[in-house]
Amino acid sequence: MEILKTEGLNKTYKTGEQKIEALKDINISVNQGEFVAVVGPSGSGKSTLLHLLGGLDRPTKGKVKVDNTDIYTMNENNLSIFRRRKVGFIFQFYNLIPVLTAEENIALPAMLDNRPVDPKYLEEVLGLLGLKERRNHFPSQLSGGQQQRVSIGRAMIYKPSVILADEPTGNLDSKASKEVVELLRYSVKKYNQTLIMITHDIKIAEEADRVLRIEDGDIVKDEVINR
Amino acid sequence: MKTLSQLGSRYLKEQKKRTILTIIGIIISVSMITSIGTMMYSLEQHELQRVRETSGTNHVAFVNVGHEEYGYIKENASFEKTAKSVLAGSSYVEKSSKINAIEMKGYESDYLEMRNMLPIEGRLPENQNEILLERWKAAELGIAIGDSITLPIGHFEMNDRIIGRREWNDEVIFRSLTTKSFTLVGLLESNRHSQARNHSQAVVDLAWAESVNTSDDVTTIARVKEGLPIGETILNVQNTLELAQENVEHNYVLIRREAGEISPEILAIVIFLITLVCVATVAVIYNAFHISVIERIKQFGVMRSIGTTPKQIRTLVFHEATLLGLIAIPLGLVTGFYATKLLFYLFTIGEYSTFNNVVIQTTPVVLIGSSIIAMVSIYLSAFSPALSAGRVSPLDAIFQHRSLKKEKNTKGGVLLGKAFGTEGLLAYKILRRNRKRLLITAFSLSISVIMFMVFSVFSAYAFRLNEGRYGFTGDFILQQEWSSEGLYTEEDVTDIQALEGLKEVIPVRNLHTSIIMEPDKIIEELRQRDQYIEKDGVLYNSFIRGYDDEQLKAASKELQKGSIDIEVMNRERGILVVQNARYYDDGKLTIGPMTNLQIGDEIKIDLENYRIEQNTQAKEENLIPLKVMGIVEKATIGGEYANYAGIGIVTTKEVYEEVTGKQGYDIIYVNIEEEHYNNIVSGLNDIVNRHPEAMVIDNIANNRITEQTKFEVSVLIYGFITLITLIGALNIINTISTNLITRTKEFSMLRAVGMSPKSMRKMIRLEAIFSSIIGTIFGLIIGNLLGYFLYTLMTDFRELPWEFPIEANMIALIGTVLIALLAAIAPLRKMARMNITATLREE
Repeated sequence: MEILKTEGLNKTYKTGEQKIEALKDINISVNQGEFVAVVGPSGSGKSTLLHLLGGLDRPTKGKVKVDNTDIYTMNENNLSIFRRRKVGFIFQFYNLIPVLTAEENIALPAMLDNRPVDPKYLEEVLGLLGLKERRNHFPSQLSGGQQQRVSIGRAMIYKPSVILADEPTGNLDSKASKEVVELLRYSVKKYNQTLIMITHDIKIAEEADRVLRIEDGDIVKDEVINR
Repeated sequence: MKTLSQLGSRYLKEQKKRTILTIIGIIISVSMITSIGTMMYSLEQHELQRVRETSGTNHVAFVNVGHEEYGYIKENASFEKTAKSVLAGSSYVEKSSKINAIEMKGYESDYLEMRNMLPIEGRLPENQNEILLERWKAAELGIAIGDSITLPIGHFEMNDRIIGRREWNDEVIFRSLTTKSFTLVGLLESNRHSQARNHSQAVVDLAWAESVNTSDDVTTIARVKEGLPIGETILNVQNTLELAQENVEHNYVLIRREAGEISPEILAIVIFLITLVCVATVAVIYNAFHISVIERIKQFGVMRSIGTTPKQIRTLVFHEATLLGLIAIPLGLVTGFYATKLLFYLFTIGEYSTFNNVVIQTTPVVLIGSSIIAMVSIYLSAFSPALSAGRVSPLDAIFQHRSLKKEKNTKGGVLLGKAFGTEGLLAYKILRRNRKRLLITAFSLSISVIMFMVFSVFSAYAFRLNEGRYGFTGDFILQQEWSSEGLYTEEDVTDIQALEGLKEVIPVRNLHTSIIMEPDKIIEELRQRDQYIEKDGVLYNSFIRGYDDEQLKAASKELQKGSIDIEVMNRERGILVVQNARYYDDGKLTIGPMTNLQIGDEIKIDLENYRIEQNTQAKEENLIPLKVMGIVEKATIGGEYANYAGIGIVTTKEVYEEVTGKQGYDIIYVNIEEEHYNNIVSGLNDIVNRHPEAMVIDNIANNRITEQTKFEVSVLIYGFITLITLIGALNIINTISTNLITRTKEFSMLRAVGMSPKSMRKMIRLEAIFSSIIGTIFGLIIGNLLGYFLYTLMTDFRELPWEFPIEANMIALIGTVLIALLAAIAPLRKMARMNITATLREE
């Protein structure tokens, strides 16, 4: 089942006199439950694509459809709510709120909806992420791997249909990287979520269902990995 | 929204440093408003107190009403307090050829209390044989408390008719009906008016007064109950009793003051100052919020990326604002009030140890008003940062996208680099790159400078207003009646100087005169008003004075143009000119120039017509030419300014005597040691009695009030400017340290790439200097403009020449830079100890 689709997606930046085409006419379709790895050299437009898929930026041209809704027809308010409920973002630099504890950071998207967090589910997530012992710690008291696990928890708390991860392991050692990827894979399987992940790590890319290779704003390779 | 509010308070708690800085910013603003409110309220209360002392506390006097009417008034529930006085009769003491009336009245003690006439010494009369006199009268009669005196009792009449109130002329005679012996049991304060009219007041027993007064005439004073409409209440009583207008005297000065009525001119000044303070408050708080939001842009970005709506971000900022307000406002109120109190305490222990008349007090109105202004300011201040926080683009915030601009090596940068080395260049580049931050810092600094400038203009003119409100005076003034040509002689002066207990005798050679000049030397406005002045160039209300050499030397401190050279003045008949005159313009006390004479101009005095009527024709042969050699702001001895349509001229004793042909003094000021009061009063009276039209006025009580008021007002003005300066300095410190403390990461980065602590200190100091200079320049431009505007508001009230506040400008510039450097010390010290890697790792 198709969950996400782009139609003629374009993004152009202007820097002074220069015009940079970050994305040129991207058409992709992603099915529910798919794990898509996005690879490519830096500056190729990977992150731009990811941001556009998650409603963080606005395209110059083209559409992004999630669950058959064109997300860029929404106003800023609805787009925020869309991000809160439908997408989970994971960044390379974790981007946690420093004044909130691990548990509070995870619960934040639900809290923003003024909705009590399902305690059972929260326990489950904390357990899954191995953060039960650390739930009351602040980000500054956690290691990089732990912080990234918190940000995964935050992305998962709403059980969004799509999780977008921008080099989630880029800042971690190999052991922590492995843990994080395993966690992500486990979670998307368990909740039937779609994972789109930018990575430089060949090993991680190899574990994906599908690999998109982007160069100069174009998809140069779309490869389904058959196991 | 519980979650967000939790998040807000969590931020505040976690970011202690910034929260404290923001709170300090709010406290500064709130205490600024509170202290100004408190001071204005205290000043108003002080004015009210002064008015009550000088004008009494009764709202109305019902003059010459019958006993029946008095009964009605007394029983009337709309009056809080009533009291009566009854005339027992007049007395007359022949000490010289002059009229020497004593008005004997019986009073209810409330009357004396309300009118501020309670004895300054001794007690009230208890029976018909006891009397109280004014202090000067007792001294003149040569009696003290306990002494007896026999006085004639009767009335003054004219054409076989007892004269009415305020009726007096040369035909009035005293008809004695009886004589009575009294014991003096107390003294009343000397009243200036009764001395000028030589018509003193005496207090006798009320019962006796009522028994001898058969005319059924009572004077009743009354105070209307709090909360009732004063005018209406009085009018009701007047109509009910069918009293004529002349029998009802309103105490308008008090009524107006109690109604809190202020003239539109003063209101304009007050509104201007309060508005300025409010704007400054908004600016200070806005800065604090703005910085706090900018610092957290990344966090807002993260929150936006995980789905926080702009509205939720705004709510978060507003919630923080509320919380900060709730913490800071009460602190600000307390700080403002006690800082003001402490300040006045410090001022007053310095000057007079007994000085305690300015009571610093406040009212709920001031406190609640300040709180409301502060809360509104806080929300206003939070509004724009909240909007921009909501508008944060998540991507830009998270990844700190900034379009890189190509740096140009501007001349300024190169110059600063040469002058201050790499550190200077770096400081300059940092400032240039972070325009917004520089703008915020400079703007914040300029607020302090603007406040300082405006309030120094305010205080400078307020001081001059305060000083100019009262003329030159002494404890005693020996003067001549207006129409008299009599003068005090050198011998009189010598005799006065021989009296025991004297401090100072200032005889003044003074003559009223007309002064004639080229009409175009007289200001346009005056010429338009008066054809006579337009045509003939005659200023008929002028005076000429002759100063001793020493007095002339002392006058040089008022010299605005020209020079004082006694020899040249004697040789060429040189004069100093006081171009300003003091007059009432539409009921406003005004001091303004009448002429635009220049050094070297010639004027003529007309001594033949030296006390002329407005239309006396001057004869050319009587005119004596004099040459302008100096312009002085005011005369240093005697009345400072001439009246309307007059100027003052001051010359040497020699020239004065030569041109006027007069030897002697028009007026003598005498200052004394008060324990010799009685002895001096009789001594002065002996001298005055040598001249048929001379009189002596005891001005001590009057001067005491004047001095007190002058001092109190100047303490208030000093308080104002000190407080504003202190608050301004605090704001500078807060701004600079906020700027530095919130940039530790940037500084550790520089340290990490190898900048030495010494270079860093130099760079930060240079940055503080550059930004404070930019802020000051901006502040001075606005401050001087606003100061000038305030000056135009204030000179609506009294005319004074505009003086560019050079000193205040210098103080502002140097002060701001110094304070900014001082403010950088603590953060610098902290930075010297910082752990580079730890700060870099910090989120």
